[in-house]
Amino acid sequence: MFSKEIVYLDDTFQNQEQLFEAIAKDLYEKGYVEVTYLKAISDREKTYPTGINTLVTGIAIPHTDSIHIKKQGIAFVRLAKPVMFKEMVTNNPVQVHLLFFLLVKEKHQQVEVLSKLMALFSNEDFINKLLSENKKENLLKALTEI
Amino acid sequence: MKKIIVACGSGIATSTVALQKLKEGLEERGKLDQVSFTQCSIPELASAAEGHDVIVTTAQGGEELSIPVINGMPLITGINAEQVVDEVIEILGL
Repeated sequence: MFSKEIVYLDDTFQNQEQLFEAIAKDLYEKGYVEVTYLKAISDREKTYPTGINTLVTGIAIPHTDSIHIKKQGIAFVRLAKPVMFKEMVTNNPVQVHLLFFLLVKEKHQQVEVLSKLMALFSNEDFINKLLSENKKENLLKALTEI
Repeated sequence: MKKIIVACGSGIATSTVALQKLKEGLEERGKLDQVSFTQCSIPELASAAEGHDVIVTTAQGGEELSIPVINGMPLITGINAEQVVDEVIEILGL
């Protein structure tokens, strides 16, 4: 599900809107999503935020209906400086450092991948590796081994 | 038989993960055969929740219904997940 072309490391964005615009534009240009994708994730995030507080840092998993997705994958984003999101359920602010954009066409696969990812969010070593690893190859290896 | 309803924004992604974890937790405590599960999205909750004994959510909603609501996020993050299972057991009186 992970691919080097949709791993984004250490860019800086002022806010969630800027971040979503940049990632959605690139995903669209690479043929992963429909032109409707940006609005879909932005709207969803407002109603049902996807921020998650872990023991190490904030993570978000923006996702939307499969009708906006052309090609399956998970885009991994590590930010140079955190961007404010809201937490699922509580709506509390979360400083998000890592994002997984779930681009899934098959619903059962989405859940399978999500379940594996979520299980790792309580693993401090894994999260610290995602925060500190500077070689895309090594990051991809850590991600694809889940 | 006690009835648990699990809801998230879409009714597909995080609610499925939460439901799996809840099932595992209840099975470990030997309580799984005393409960049944329903899964839905938050917008569906108002009509789907009737007759259930507890709501577990991974998104905001459900507070307006006269059924206890439990925050299911720990089931997702794995942080304090056991407490959620215990809370469900306590509310259901199992």
